[in-house]
Amino acid sequence: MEDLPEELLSSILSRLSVIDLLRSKATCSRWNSLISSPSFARKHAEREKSSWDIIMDLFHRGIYMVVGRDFLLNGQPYLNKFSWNGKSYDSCGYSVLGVCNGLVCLHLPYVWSKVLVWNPATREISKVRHVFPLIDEVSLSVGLPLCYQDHLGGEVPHGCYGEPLTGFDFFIFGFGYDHQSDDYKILTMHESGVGCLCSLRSSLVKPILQKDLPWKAINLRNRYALYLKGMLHWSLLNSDNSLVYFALKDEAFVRTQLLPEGLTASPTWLGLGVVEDCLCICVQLIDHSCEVWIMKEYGVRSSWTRLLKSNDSSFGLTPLVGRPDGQVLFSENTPCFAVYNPRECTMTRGMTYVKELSSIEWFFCVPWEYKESMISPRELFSVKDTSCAKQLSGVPDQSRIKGTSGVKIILHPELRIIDCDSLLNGQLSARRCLWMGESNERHSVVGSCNGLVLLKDYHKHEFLWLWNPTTREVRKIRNVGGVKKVEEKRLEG
Amino acid sequence: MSSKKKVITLRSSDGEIFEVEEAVALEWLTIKPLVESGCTDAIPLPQVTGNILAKVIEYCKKHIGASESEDRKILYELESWDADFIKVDQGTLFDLIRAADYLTIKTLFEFTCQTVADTIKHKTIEEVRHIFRESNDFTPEEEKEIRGKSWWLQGL
Repeated sequence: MEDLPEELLSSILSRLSVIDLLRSKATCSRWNSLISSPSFARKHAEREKSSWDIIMDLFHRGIYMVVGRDFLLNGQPYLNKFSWNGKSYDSCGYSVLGVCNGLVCLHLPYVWSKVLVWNPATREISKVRHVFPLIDEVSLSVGLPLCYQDHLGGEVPHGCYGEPLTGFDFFIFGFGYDHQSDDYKILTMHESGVGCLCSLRSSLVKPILQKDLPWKAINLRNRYALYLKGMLHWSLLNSDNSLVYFALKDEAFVRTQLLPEGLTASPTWLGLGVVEDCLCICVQLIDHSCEVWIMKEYGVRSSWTRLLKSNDSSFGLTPLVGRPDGQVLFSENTPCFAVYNPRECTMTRGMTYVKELSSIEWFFCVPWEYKESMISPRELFSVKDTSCAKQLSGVPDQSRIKGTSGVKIILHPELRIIDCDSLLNGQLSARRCLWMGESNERHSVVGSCNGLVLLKDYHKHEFLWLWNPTTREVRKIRNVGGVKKVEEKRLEG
Repeated sequence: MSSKKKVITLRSSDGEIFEVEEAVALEWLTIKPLVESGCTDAIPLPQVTGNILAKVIEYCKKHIGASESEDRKILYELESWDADFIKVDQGTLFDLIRAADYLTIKTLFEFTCQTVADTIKHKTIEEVRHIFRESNDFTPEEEKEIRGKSWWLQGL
């Protein structure tokens, strides 16, 4: 196949399943480098059509994969418990925060700094650092840490730092993909309207403040956001038919009356889901009738179409996934699944799969639509161009140093150096620069040029320091008049 | 309106001349602007040989209008016709992919790529290498590392 251009080869290979691709990597080095490239993973993920596979998070019982095609064949779902590195999964205690493009974001509830991004198909897993700076783990309070207040220019009200966590606090979460910056982002919001957005590609955490939304009206079963088209969605259980969404591109919340106009009575239940790339809701009204609506054109309120209206008291359906032939899979409020058949406009209900699971346990377990992909969690931290470097340099008090070994970024306030070469190799290595053998809290970066960094002293304004982080040489420059008295000192490694 | 269908003339890389109906040529996005501008000369296609162009025209003629049909019988017949059409050797198949890409014929490109992809499915590496005449250019260490990463796969 050597004479086939790379582009055509990738068009062919992007039609294979993840298992076939992992196997095909060993064919030859050309195939290996093509299949391993992030751009191929993106191309493959765009092609990958819905497979009816569902990830079930049963909390302390572990995380399961429900293989969807079994539903169609015999109505008997097959459960597959996840494991990694041969270990049983449930002992780890992680639960699912979000699923997007074949990546599963996991967190350890109430241990805020532990977040993982996992690709179950390729079995790759990677840790996310500094995701929740809004939780002060020492005092167990919620708020924005002081260092972020600088970036906000004083917009943070004093009271929002240090609100104590009671253990019953309500958080909402979201995990999604921003096409514009080719970045995955994790959102955490506390009920007080304080939250943060963590970008995986740049490892930057941005504080989010949104006090004017009815956080407590958010549907408890929908506290993990529904991802669709670069937006994170939550449904509200109040009477004005509104939805809350967070646009990952603009990094802002929007509350909008988006639910169908034909829906007059306020629902007692609202299940939100994505069916064939369209927003789909299942509502239960006061008179116990149940309606399923689908929004054919995203964002257009008049495009809502009613799929089904039924008068039996089928309480609490949540749309999970749809197929091109119009079939839709729902999860019920009891440990069952239901399938909607478009040809006869009927609903087959009561497909059980975990008999020993109680209804209470089921109520809190979250089903996620899942499409396998080749996207590597390790690649998320890589920089394919300088966009990450640009993003980083946009934050105050940072300078980039261009040296012989490629672009490096200095992060103030801790004077960490991020090596972009290491980013290219798929690791984020932020090295803390030692200053005379200890960490530096006294200096801030003034500027940089040709591999040298100019620093100023917080306390002694009469001196500037010229520093070469690579050779670790440093020069003290007296900051008076035109005369510079220079001292040289070689720092110990 | 004239009932006579407009005919477009095409010239393959080896100088062979083909005539196709305008409706067929309009599906080929690469030459669509030329056809729409009312070009009456033979359109040169320097990257497609005569025998491949004949195959491409055969496929497009069969598929024009039929793919959108709702009639199950027609679709079923088309499927079995496709299966016969694609029974060609590896070289011809790759030539068809290249021609479909060059002429931007979406349906043919999808179909041929899927056909090749289907031959890779559920095969071991040795079988895939044999089919695609790729040689193993890894050092033993590299190969061990790649296989080791996916130790849990069957047939590796």
